[in-house]
Amino acid sequence: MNRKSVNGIAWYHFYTDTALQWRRVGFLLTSVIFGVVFLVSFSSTPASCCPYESETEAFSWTTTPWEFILASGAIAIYLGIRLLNARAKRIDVYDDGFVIAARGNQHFVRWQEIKGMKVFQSLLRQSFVYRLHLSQDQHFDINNDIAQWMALGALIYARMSEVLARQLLDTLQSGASYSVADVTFLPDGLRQGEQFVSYDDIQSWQTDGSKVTIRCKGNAGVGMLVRHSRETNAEFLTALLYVMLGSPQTH
Amino acid sequence: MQAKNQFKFPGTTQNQILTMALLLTLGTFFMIPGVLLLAARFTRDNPPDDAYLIQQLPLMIFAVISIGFALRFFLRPRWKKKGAEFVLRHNSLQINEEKYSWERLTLLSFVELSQPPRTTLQLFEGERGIFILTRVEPLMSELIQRLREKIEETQLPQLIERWQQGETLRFGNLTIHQTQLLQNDQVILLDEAKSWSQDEDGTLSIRDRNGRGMGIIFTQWLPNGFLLLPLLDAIKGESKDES
Repeated sequence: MNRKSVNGIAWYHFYTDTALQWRRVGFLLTSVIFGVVFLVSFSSTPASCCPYESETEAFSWTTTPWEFILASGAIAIYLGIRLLNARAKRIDVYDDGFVIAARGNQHFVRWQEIKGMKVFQSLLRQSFVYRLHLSQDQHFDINNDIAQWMALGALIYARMSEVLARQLLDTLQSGASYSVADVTFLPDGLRQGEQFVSYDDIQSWQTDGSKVTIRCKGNAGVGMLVRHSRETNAEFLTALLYVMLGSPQTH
Repeated sequence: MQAKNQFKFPGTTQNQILTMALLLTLGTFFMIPGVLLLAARFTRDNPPDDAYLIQQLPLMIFAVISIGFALRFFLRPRWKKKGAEFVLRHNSLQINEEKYSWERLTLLSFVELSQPPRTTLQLFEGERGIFILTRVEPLMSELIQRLREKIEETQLPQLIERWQQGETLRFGNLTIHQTQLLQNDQVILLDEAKSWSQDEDGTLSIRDRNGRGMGIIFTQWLPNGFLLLPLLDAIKGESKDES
């Protein structure tokens, strides 16, 4: 689906972080150039200048400098193409979904089409990544390639929470149960493994980012402890508890 | 105490101009030997050794990067060079030379949790984008608060009147009909909504008369979403939760 078929206004626009891309290319290119210069310096050193014959042999390079230059040029071209592709990436957020425009292609994703979201830390990037599962074998990552990616992640989290909240309420109204991570929402309470807590017995709940603590009335604080897992949609547990129990710390 | 009606965000500063000049000078200086060697390589009958040229490459790279950084100043948007000045008048908002009526302004803002946190302010005239400002200054939150107050003061009575006349109100993907709130697939019947509460981050939770949740709305991501809570209070005429 292309952008022409999208209704509404694009309220938010997110672009590739070009400054970051330029820094990456600059760093890699400089490293390559330094490497070439280092090797060429040894290969072009006349044997007579070095008092140790064996050292000269050890460091001598049999290829010509132009081959290094061609190699570094190829790397620079590859990085440049990557940069141009990355520069083309743009995300416009509309009322009913968002458009990803990259490499001349546009793809529209409705909020309801997102099957799930997973947040994890990428060791390579040293930052969090929001992975949106669009189908069984298709996903889209929101990472620090995009300027203001955390804001985009929070926006998508908010829109998806609203969709999942509707699913949860509809499911409970029909008498069925709804599971997120290892917690099951039932029409009359919450279940985690063998543990069950009725909604009427819950006094308050709070979250500290790594776990959710649910306290029961008149029970010396004993309730339910849910540790955040890295399963798909586990991040939405807090939003769904918000729907069922109201603001944290109060009920 | 008189409310502050003028907010000024400086453009290119004298320090930035000096930095730009320094980068340009250094870049040009480092570029000269490489350019001369390169010219000699292709013009002279007895060209210099390629090794000399290659040894100049790091300096050439640094020179290009320095000049590139300096030229970035020229590519900045006009308001970044000149700065931006907001004047909050009684009937209109003036941004630099342009004036916009409070009645048609739509505000969106979000804070990015970077270090330091950056606030983005987006302004629309109706649905047409007119201004985007991303800054880290604490002045931003003060400006956003004042803009919200002025927009609420002007637009809320009109919204209430329009709803009472049977019109459907729209906040991005949220529409307020006479009997229900509609957001994507989420339907919240106004007759069944008994109470609602909003957190500091703008998350609005609506509950029925049994205290059960009916839905959740992240108002901070809606255009003029900050009007939703006072609007609900007004059209329902009932007290909200104390949270």
